[in-house]
Order: sequence, then C-alpha cells, then structure tokens
Amino acid sequence: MRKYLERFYSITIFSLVFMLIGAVFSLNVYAKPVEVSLWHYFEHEAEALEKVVADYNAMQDEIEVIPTFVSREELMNQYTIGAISGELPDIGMVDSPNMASFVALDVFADITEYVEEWDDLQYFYDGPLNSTMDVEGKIHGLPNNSNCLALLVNMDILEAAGFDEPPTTWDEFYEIAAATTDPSNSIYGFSMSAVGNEEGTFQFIPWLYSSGASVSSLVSEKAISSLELLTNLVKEGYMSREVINWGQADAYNAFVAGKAAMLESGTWQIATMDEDIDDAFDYQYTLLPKGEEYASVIGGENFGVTVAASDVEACTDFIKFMQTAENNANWCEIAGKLPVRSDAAELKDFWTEDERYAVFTDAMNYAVARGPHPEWPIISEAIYSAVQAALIGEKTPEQAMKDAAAIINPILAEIPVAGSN
Amino acid sequence: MKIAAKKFEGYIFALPGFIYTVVVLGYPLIYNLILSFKDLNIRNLRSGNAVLVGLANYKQLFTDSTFQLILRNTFIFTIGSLVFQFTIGFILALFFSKKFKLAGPIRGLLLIAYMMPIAVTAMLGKNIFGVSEGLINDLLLKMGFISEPVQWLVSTSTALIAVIAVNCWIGIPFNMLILTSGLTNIPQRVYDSAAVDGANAWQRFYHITLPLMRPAIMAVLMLGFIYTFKAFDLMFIMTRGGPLNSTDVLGTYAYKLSFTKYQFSMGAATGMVLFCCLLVIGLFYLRLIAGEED
Repeated sequence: MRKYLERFYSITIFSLVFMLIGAVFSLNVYAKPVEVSLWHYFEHEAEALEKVVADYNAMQDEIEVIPTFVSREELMNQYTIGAISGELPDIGMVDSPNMASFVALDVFADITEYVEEWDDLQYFYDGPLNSTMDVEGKIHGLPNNSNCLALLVNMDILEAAGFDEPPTTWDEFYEIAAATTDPSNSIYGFSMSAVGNEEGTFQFIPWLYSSGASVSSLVSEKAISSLELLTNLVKEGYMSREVINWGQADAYNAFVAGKAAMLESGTWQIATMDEDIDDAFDYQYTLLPKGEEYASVIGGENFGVTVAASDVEACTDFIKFMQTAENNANWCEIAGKLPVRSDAAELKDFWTEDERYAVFTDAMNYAVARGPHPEWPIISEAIYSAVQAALIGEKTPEQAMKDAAAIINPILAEIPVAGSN
Repeated sequence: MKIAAKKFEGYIFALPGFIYTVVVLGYPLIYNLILSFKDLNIRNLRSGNAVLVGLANYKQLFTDSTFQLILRNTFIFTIGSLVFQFTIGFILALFFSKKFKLAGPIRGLLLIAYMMPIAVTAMLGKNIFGVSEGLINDLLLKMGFISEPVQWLVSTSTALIAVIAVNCWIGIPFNMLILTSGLTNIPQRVYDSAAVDGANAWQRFYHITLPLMRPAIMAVLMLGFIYTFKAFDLMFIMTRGGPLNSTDVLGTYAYKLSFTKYQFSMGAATGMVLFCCLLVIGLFYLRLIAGEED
C-alpha cells in the first residue's frame, strides 16, 4: 500500500511541476500577438503567400498570421463540416464560384463595415468582387487573384499541318483540330478537361457563352451547338474520349508532352510552362475561338474571414494588406495570375509586356463569372454531367442540355444569379 | 454481498466499452438518423429552422432514378467482387495449402496487394485501365482478344467492371489468407482415412473440406460483404463515381450529396440506407457466430 501511495505522491508532484511550466509558458505567450490561422491551397504560389504574411507579421504586433496548406478538396470539406461544428480557421481561401455557397452556409463573416469606408475598394474589378457578396450585396471577403481561359497552340504541329496562324473561329478551330490529329503518333487535335467536377464546368462555360447562349438558356439552339462542337471532336477522334476523366492538369500534361495540338489553358499554367515544355516546341496563346462572340470564364480565389475568427476586424486588416495595389501586383507577378484591381494592373507592365499575359488580359474582357449563386454546385453538376453524357455518347447534345436545363431552370427561377440584372 | 459485488463488477468492466460505443458510434448515428428525417440543406442551415419531414427524404430517394442506379451499382459491385474474390481466393488457398517448396514465401508475396494503401491501388488501376495507353488494353490487343481498345473507365457500361476487377485484386489475398488458415485446421488424418475408404479428390473436397470449412467460409463472405458494401476510396480515386454515376455506390453518393451539393439530409438518408443494409448482414453474422459457439 505504501508503495502505491509513494507512487501517487510522485505523480502528483510531477503533474504540479508540469502545470507550473505550462503556466510560465502561457504567460509568455500572453505578451505575444494573437495567433491567427490562415488556410490555403496554394502550391507553387505558397512561397509568395508566405512572403506577404511575413511582411505583415513584421509590420504590426497585434496578430500573427500562421499560414497552413490544406489540399483544396479537404479545405472545402472542412468548411462544410465547420459550418455545423464551428471548427474553422480564422482566415480561409476559397475558389470564387464556391464562395456564395459558403456564405450561405455562414462560414464567412460579413466584413462590409470594415471595408466599405476603404478607399481602395473602388479599384477592385466588379466580377471578382461580386463573387464575395451575398444576395443582399454584403461583402464577405476580398478577391485575391483572377485567371481565365485562352487557347494554347503548339505551333510546330500546326505548321507541319500547313497552318501558320492559330484559329480564330469555330470553323477554323475544327478544321485545324481535324488536320493536326495524328492517331499513329497518338496526337489529338485538341485537349481540354471535361472531368466530373467544377473544373469540367469551368472549361465548358466559354464554349457555351461563345455560342451566344448562357447558363439560363441551355435548351436554346446556340447552347446545343456549343456542345455539338465538342461532341463532334470526340466522335471524329480529334479529342480523346478520356478528357471526361481529365482534370485541367491532365489535359495540360498531354499538351506539354506534345500529345495535343491545342489546349484550353488557364493563366496559372504559364508559371510552369517553359520549364515543362523545355523548348521541345514553339507555342502561342490566343483567344479561344469565336462562335458568335469571343468568350472566356473567370476563375480565381478569394480570401474571407470566417465566423470563428476571434477578431474579425484585425483579420480583415490582414486581407486588406494582402490586397493593396502593390502587394496584389507583386503577388500576382510571382504566382502567374491576373490582379483583381485596376490600379494594380497599371503598376507593372508585366501583364501587357509578356504577350502570353497580354492574351489573358484581353480575354478578361470577354470572361464571364460563374454565379455567384448559393446553389452553384448543383448547377455546376448539371452542366458537367450534360457535357460528359454527350461526349461519351450516352445522350445527344440536345437531350443532355434539356436534362441539365430541367435541373437548373427551377433553381434560377427561385434565386437568380446575383448581380445579373 | 460478495455475489452482488461480483455481479456489479461485470458491469464496471463493460462500462468503458459501453461509454465508448455511445460516444463514438451512438451519438453520430442518432444525429444522422434525426438529420435524415429533417430537411436540412444550404438554404436553411444558417437559420437553423430545418423542419421535420418524416420519411419524405427516403421517399424521394427511392423514387429517384439516380439512386436506384446507385443501389444497383452497390449490389453489383459487392456481389461481383465477392464471387470472384472468393472463388479465386479459395483456389489459391487450396493450391498453397499443398506443401511444396516456396509455398509460404509466395503466399506472403501475394499479400502485398492487400497491404498496399487503396489510394495507391486505385491510382494504379486508373492507369492500367487507361484506354489508349493502359496495360490491359495493350495486352488484350496484342493477344488478339479485341480489335480496338475497350473504353473501360470512360464508358458507363464498362467502368464498373474495371472497378470490380481492381477490387478483386485487393480482396483475393485477404480471402486466401482466411481460407488458408481454415484449411490448415482440418486434420490430415481425416483425409487419409477418407482416401483409405476410396473417396476421390472431388468427394474429399465436397464431403470433408467444404463442411469443415463452413465457419471460415461464412466469416470470409460476411466480412467481405460488409467491407465491400461500404466501399468509398477505390471509386472515389479511380473514377469519382463517374462517368455519370456509373461507378457511384452508396458511400460515394452520400458523400456527394452532403459535401458537394450540400443536401445534408439527403446525404444522411443515403447513409442510413447503407447502415441498415449492413446492420442486417451484421446481425445475421452475429447470430451465425452465436450458433457456432453453442
């Protein structure tokens, strides 16, 4: 018995010592700034982000921002779970078309009062800024970067097939896709992503709008013609049927490996392109070919302060710092993105001098936003499912579009896309 | 007094397990059950006034053609996987229970497929079943079984077959392992005396091996069913349930409803359907074990 008592005493004493040490440490922390967690899914851009964070942490002693990488899908899941459980980071990154859903799920706090007096707000482009707003126009975050889609062309393959210039219209595009397809070397005329997630929808939207249709007019002849164009490419073997399992990175890999003559490519892909192609061939960017009009689609990420943040104002101060004209310009140059404010774009001639970026800067004029709509995920699923069904021949383009419209139209009738009127 | 304390003691020992079950399994299960009777979605999560709708979610599920497809996929996937895993696993078990050189090490090597993380296997499967550059198509073309590539993962009619094939590859070693241990428990002298009585190989298998293997066979089938029925990671990585839900099973569909469409109650109802199917099988298995212990 005594032995047990002795053991009991020693454990108690040890515990007390540990508690004392803990107390000393926590006192120490008390004097330090409040730690603020920031979750993001930047990969090659992470270094640029860490630099902005380090600058901000050195500049003030109110909060200390600690960035953490969480994979994109995992992060989205965490927001959904956090909407119910409340377990959220203080600041979080989000893909712009998903922001409306998370605002509806009450993940991101209303920061209107901290930004409406901010002079810089007027410089933000409408499209990206709208994606942070809810139906009532309250602001829940700030856009961080923009990107859009353009056509990337392997000039070596085109020249070998007898074309000196990239296509500008659907007809030219189709003709070149046909002429550059070379089954014996497994080279396809065109490569894109039609995968069953948001990426698939993102890549289809430009074709839809280029036909002169929109998400709310999927049963129109124009909308059907856009899906017919892509379906014919697969039917004739000018585009691999496997695009329905390809994310944008897979389609990009096929292009840099010289297995595709043309690619529907995003701004962010410029950052790694020269290294990946390694001078194997000449390439050129151009606008996506024109049906009735030129079209592209806006992508990009926003940062929001979540409802779990202990000091929303201080956190908002950080995202404002991140998005000052100068920081936004610096950041986007390193990360290979487009700035979200007009005065940032003017700070550097980077986006106009580099002819690749110049194409994207031009494409932004024709780029449409997805949503914002709280039920965008359901709309998006209907769209990519229609594209997949048509591409693999499960449905005719017409039937596929009709089925998608049957899902989308009632949703849009109830809540129209914000800012569309 | 002492007897009463003894009786009490039993409960004390059971208490940690009971608390664990209630906290870790009971709470989420009941929460999920309640959720499946509500109408919680993206529009009312914030206001918190999701109304009770009774069985409406279940009704909607069972009349939905997509859900019917998913239910069918789940059963085809489970039964298809079990039939091939079990048959091939059993044949391999019989083969490796023969005492020949290197039987042990080779059997051990076969287990690698089982030990590999499913994410890795799924990625391998995705590449092996590629249309233009996949190994399977290449082999079949070279051996002359097919004249043009099979569309495997990009066709709604073949995608599930490819996923089942990969799942069999994972499951065969597990079946083999359990069945081998069953086989080694059958005493050799039973076979010897049967041989003396003039039983041929088939009779020995049918009248000795099969009856004596019954517990092992039931265990491997039951566990296999439960394990396969709730599959998620394999299709999630190989096909994401596509193309067009053709490889979606209850697990992936519940995930999609809750996490990409924010239809939380529908997701919960799908989860409950999955749970109920497994509960039936689980109870059946428990009864079976209890029957054997008596």
